[in-house]
Amino acid sequence: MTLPDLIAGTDIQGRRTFLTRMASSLLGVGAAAAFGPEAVARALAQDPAPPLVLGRATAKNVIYLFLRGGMSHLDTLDPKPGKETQGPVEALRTRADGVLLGQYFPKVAEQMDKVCIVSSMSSKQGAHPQAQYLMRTSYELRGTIQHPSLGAWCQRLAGRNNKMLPGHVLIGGGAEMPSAGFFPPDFQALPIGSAEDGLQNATLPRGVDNERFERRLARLKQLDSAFAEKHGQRSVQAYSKAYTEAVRLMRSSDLVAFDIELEPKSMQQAYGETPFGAGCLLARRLVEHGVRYVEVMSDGWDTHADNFDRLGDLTPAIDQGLAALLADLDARGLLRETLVVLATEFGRTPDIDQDQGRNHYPKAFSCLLAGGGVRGGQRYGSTDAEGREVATEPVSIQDFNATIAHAVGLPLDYVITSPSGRPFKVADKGSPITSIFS
Amino acid sequence: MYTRLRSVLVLGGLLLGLASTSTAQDKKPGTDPIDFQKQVWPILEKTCLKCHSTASTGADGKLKKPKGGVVLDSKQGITTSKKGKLVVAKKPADSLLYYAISLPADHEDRMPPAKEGDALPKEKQDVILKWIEQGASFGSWTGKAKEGGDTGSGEKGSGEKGGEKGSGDKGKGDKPDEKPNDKPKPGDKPKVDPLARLRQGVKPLAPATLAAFAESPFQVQSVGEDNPLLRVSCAGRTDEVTDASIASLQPLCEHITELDLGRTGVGDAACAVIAKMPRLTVLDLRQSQVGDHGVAALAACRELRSLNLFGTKAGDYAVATLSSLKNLEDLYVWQTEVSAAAVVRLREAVPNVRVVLAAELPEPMAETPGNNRRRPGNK
Repeated sequence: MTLPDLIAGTDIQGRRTFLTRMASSLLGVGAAAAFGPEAVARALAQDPAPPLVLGRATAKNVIYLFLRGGMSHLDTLDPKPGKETQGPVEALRTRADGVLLGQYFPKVAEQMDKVCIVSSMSSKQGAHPQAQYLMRTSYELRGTIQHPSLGAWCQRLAGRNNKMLPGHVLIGGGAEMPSAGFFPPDFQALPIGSAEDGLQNATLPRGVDNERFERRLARLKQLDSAFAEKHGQRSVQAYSKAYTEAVRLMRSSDLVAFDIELEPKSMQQAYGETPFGAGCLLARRLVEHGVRYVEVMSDGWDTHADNFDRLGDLTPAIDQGLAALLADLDARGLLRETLVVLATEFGRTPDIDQDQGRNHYPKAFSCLLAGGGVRGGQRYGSTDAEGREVATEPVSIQDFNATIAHAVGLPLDYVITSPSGRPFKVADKGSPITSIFS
Repeated sequence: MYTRLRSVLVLGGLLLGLASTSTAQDKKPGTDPIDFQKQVWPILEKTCLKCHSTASTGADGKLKKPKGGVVLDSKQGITTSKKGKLVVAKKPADSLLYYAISLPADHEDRMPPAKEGDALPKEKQDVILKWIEQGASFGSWTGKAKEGGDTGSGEKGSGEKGGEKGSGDKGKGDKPDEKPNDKPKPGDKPKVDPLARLRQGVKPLAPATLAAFAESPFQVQSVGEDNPLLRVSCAGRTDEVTDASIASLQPLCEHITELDLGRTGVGDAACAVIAKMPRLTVLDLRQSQVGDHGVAALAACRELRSLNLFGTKAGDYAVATLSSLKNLEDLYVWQTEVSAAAVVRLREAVPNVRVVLAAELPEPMAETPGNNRRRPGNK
């Protein structure tokens, strides 16, 4: 499947597709076609266990912003002013003393008092699919199994905050990436192709009023009942339950959460009217309504050639969206309970090549955490003078994910066994960076 | 929490390690087990015993009772008291003794009280912290005994667990081989969770009481493992929550410490019920119908630390009534009638409060060429 196919698949859905997707998100039966009825039956047999008792969580929600392709650490979060590896990019002072940013993030610099940069990320995975997989699941990509993403773990271990809405939403593409993995399909993220369009096909079709819709539903029930009685399997029940839940969402007052057009124009402009900015705004609305885990994707960061020109194009949307998100969440009192993560799969080479490009560099890179109990205005870990090697406090991808899980209060040593009988944990063997929390 | 706490403790050990190099003989800094009799007792004796000694008849013939029923000159007195557990081995966060000495100076529960003297210096607080963390061993000391007993055995006794985790050693430097859990950072302060104190003496609610909420619009959860205190929210069913439904929370009043009524239909009447929640620390009323009179009732919630009034009808009168909430740390009043002048007055009364009156949103973007348009192919 190519990217355009996927986008098409998520943007333009028929009503039935919508119901199926809602079903897959709310209960997981929609994925039956891919998984087969046995898988669904099995999934339902091991109904999601009641949420475990959580540790003292510092965050209730996670907004995970993922820059796909590998963001150059030197030019953004970990500048090295005056060094040859820095190229033409200048460093900016920020609101946090001594914490510098690359020149592309002037608006985020104003919010730096809320942010903790993790500068000592390091991994061994330098290919996009493998590195993205590792980042989102904490495990290596293998042919034999698909691991659940952090969002799915979060929903599985902490439960949904709002039972009416999906526990995990993925905005702006990335639907081909692992989501529920080997978990029952109801832990699949609900994909929203474009934040500007919101959730499609969730309103009644033209010419169908409520009464007519009710009649249709009743007829559907009537047609189904004989079959359901004859084949009293859980998968059959699950289908009808999924439809019921989808209809409930269609009528829920929470449906407005998906519509960013309800925001004042000035707010939409503050987030920047870009796909990423709109994604951030939608993420904020969803978190307000009790969705626990929202991911926003941004593509195009694989800057092999013309790195600096391309960053000039790419970064304004991120700078605007992230700065607005942090300021807005903070003023609503939501930042204290929402962990905002800006992540990427690897960094880019300190040496600039003949095409003014930078290439894949997993050895040292940077990510960012804000809110959710994390103390702002700090940089955790460091790289050497030229940004080539991690100098202090190395953080593996598993450690980073463990830190997110720790904030949400997930039990890091809780083992879930895959259908193939192997044990897995939310962040594999990662240990959280506990000292960055206030 | 546990791991966080541990890193904090390791840091305590680290600071202590540096502070005690001069006194400890021939030992690596940071690894020394704290000797109760040599290091902790002198602190208690000098600072606390004036008020916290076993009841005795003074020179004037009057019976002198220990203040607050807290006795610090016997082993039994130190481990238990009328107020709860003063010292819980390895759990400083549950130890009232450490809680009381580590509070900020202006807190009414700070020991020693402001009028009796200054706070214990940081090094001394850390001695006690580390002693508790190491297992709060008393060695041979039993208390109410003559001074200068046999220190030799005391040292051994208290050393039994001191090096167990080798935590001091690990936290000693910035060596990359240290366990990531234990990464200490300069600037970390040992912080005691206020919930540790608030939970003292609270009995868990009967499961039947909690089960009654299964079908209600409220989500009732414990705030942590084995913690009787509760977090109550109603995400997803906000439109069902009104002033009338708040009354059903009455049986939980003693237990609720976090209450999220954001985006619900509750108004001033609900605040009368909320005012009966003595352990409430976090209250979220954003975008509800609450106004000045409701907020005024909240002055009864003395433990309140965070109050979210974003998008409510609260005004300057509401903010003025909050000035008696000395524990208040965060107040959100964006998109309300509250004026900057009222905020200034509140800050005078409650100096530590952070008030968010408006969002510092970025200026809209200039026309941008690229706008993060999708570029296919991350090859």
